[in-house]
Amino acid sequence: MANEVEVNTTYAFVSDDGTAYSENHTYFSDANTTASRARRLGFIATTSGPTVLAFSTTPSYTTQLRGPCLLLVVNRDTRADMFLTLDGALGARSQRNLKAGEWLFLDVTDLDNTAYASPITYAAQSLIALTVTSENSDAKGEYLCIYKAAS
Amino acid sequence: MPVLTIYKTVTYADPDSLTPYTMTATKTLNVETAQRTRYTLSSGSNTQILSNGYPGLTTANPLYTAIKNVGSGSAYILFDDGTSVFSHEIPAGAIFDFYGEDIWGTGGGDTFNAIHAKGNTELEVDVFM
Repeated sequence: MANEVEVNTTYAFVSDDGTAYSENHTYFSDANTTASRARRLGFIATTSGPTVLAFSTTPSYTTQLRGPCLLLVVNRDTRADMFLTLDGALGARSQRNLKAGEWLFLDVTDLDNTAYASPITYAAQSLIALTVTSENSDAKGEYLCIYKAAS
Repeated sequence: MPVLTIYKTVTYADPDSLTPYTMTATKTLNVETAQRTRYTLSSGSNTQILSNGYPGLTTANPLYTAIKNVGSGSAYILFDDGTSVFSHEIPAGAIFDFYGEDIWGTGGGDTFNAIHAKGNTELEVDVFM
């Protein structure tokens, strides 16, 4: 298998008037053999909002390498919502609510509002932390994070 | 009521160890209607690709949204809840999908009212309500 990440999203729905909306969307993220440093982990979200995934500029056994990453976070808990906070290196923040079974997917985790203002010249902020809060003290979640040297 | 079932699979194998890192998730939703729209974007001016809160076939209370970049350049999308914004990049060929409308606040109180996009590319947007 080539050193690449395959992403598949499939859904199908037929409306009451018979119109079908379906998709089997597969693509290879970063197909230029640059994906590496995969991390997959089950985590426990609590009311205190622990940092479940941290990033650093130097390789470490406790942190993911800071830079463009593919990220899939799933709420595996059937009881509880999860509240995700993604913090960028320069203060940008993106937050998301996940109900049971729902996921957050980002092909590339860089975030910065200036991307929209100046899409050609913006300076992407690398993700530095993912924190997850739950109203339960032991809500189960899972993530897969893969570093991409170029995106 | 029609049912929407969504499957997400990310597959990767470490090139040194060949260890697989496949992760899957599945979600089923009861939905009533949907819409599919295609947009040609510009890098110089914004394009509103989603407007939340309007009854009828214009999106209101979306349960699942999939934004596919079907062009050759990156797209940059911006979520706006009226007071706060954030944006993400969708590389060419990639998909960005999300659930619900309370996408901004950790307390679940905020909802986005619009999504805008820029970039020299095309987007196809599926919204299920």
